[in-house]
Amino acid sequence: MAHPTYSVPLFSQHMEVDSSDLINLFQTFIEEFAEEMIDLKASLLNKDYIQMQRIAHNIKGIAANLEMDSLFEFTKSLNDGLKNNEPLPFDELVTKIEKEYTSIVDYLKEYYGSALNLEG
Amino acid sequence: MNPKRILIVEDSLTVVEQMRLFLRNENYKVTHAGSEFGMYQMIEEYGKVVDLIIMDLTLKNENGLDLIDNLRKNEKYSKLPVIVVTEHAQVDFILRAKELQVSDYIRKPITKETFIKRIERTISQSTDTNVADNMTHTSDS
Repeated sequence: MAHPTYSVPLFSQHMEVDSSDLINLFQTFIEEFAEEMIDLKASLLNKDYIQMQRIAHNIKGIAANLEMDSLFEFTKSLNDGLKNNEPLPFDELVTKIEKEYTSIVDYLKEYYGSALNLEG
Repeated sequence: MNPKRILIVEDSLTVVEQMRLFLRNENYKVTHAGSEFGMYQMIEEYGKVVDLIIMDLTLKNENGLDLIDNLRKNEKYSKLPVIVVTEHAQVDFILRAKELQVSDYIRKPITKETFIKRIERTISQSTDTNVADNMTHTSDS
């Protein structure tokens, strides 16, 4: 069981905590990030770029702390582009972020099985 | 020794959870606020019992340095130790942080070792300062 861009065992080594604590951390991540994705897409639709940048900054920090390197790179590109008013295809970046997030969630579900107790 | 109380001001629950895990086996009591309003609620509630604030500089709707600025304007909290968590390392940021008497700063992404070391160092320095202050007051009286 492997993911192309993320490794639970590697992150676990750096965190030095029990498996159950790590599961709680990932559950919090999955729930918070899902909410942020909803707000991010709503901000994109409304062309609210200030709010988009705030969200991008927050999820970039989360991705960095959890050592999700690809997710970090995508969120960083979005954050930097919005901050510097660069003419980037923001919708494509949001799609990339969502795909990477979904892929990591699938990996975590496969890795932890039913131990990862997600609602909905 | 009574555990020191740390207040984390951070609006990401994931990051708060991670910080709590880092500190779980250390001798600290950890509380959390997600905004300036929440921060004042917590420090007013715990009063002098808050020994250290860990402040995220880029809250979604607030600037952490402005929160510290407001905190410093209140005499009660003018010397409360604050460690900021940031991605910034620019000179202007460091100068402003110094002006606001920020005790230390931790660059993101946070690692357990750095996080605990910086907290221990800041609390230790703060305790030393308090002892020195107390000695000064004693000798004055």
